[in-house]
Amino acid sequence: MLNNPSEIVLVVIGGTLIMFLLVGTIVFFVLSYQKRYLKHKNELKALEQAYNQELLKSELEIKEQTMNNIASEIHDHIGQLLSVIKLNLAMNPAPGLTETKELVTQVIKDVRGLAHSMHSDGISNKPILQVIETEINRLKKLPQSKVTFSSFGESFSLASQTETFLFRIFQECMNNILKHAHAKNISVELNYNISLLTIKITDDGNGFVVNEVEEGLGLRSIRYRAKLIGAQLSIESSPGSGTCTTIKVNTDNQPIHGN
Amino acid sequence: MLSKIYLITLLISSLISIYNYNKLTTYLKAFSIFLVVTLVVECAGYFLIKPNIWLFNIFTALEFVFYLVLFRQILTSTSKKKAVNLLIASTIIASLGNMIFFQGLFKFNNYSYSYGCMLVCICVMMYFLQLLHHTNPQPLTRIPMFWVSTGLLIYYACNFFYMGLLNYIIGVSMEIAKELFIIISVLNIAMYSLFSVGIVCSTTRRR
Repeated sequence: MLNNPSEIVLVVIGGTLIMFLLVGTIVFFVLSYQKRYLKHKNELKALEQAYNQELLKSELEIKEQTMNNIASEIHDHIGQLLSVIKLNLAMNPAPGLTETKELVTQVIKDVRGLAHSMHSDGISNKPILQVIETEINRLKKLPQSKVTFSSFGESFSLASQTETFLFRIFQECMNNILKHAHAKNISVELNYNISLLTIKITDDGNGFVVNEVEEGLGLRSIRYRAKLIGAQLSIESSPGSGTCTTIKVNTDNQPIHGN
Repeated sequence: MLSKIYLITLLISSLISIYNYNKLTTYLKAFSIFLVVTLVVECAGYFLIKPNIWLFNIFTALEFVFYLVLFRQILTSTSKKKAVNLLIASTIIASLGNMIFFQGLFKFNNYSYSYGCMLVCICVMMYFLQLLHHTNPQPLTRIPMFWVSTGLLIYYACNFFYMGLLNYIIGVSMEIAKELFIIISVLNIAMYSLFSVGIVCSTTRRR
């Protein structure tokens, strides 16, 4: 047994120190293990996000390619056939065909307009204001909704890809309104400030709970495209009160091409 | 001097817990009440009641039961809860048995105390394992109970030698026992400081 006081002191202090080291090691191990585990989990999450982004990017590329193909087909094939019909009609001098000739001319114009709005080449060569205006003129002919358009400020051009993406976002929003919202009135506003372009699309349709809606490819591609061009996207909606989508692009981050 | 500092640390810890009482979770509310009770008992034992061994014998037995019940509440696994139930029952039996049949109320109950220390350390280890196997882990430094558990582990694992041998040391030399009490004071300061960190961390997390 320990009878010498110095031995007792040694045993107690030594034992306490050993226990302290042991506890320190355990706490350090727990902390470092959890830190590594969290890091690993975050890496996995980042990988999954990157994979999903890549998947979405591929989906969008395929969609864009398909739209280009359809646009080319409409323009080259259907447009060609309509031109032949128009030519044949022109060779027939019968007075009863005047209205038909006018209708065919109108159809050719509409089909070309549709093909241009679908093909990315038709968008990237023109300023966003003009492309949106053309698209709205096309949509105005649809019977179910009244579309109004207004633009404020001095317009300027953005990088070609940014404008293409903005137009696709606009198209997707309009598509969603026509497909799901059953809106009677749709308003589109383009607001050009010194370094900010704001596109505001408002409708008086069904609306939805933003956080509860299941995001399909349309909404995901809107968000993804907005992210890619560094645009600020906000969707405000509630059931029965319509939807307001605002896209803000800061021109400071974009290569600006003077108008 | 150090024992006064540890009482001050306990006082600060209790004040922090009372100040933030409404922001705390249920088990931390119970913990904060227990801290205040600890402060009252420690002050009574230090300043008013002499000899105070009987007071600390009763209080430490209750203290171990409280910590074990606390861990029973925060452990999620049913099997671990059942195991802690057994540990609680064994602590009560060991403490009462030691008080009544072996060491009595007026001699420090170092056997049951050492046993309690061991059980608290086991519960802390079980809790750490639970934290490591959590399916949705949060950084440990933001979990209040992690700090409380670390404080308990440091205190009860490190005072095992001193408290376990206390009656023997007193038998050899009372002076050495008093000198070595510095270890307990330092451990108390560390434990109550970690408790304060845990409570502060709990309130900042909920803001």
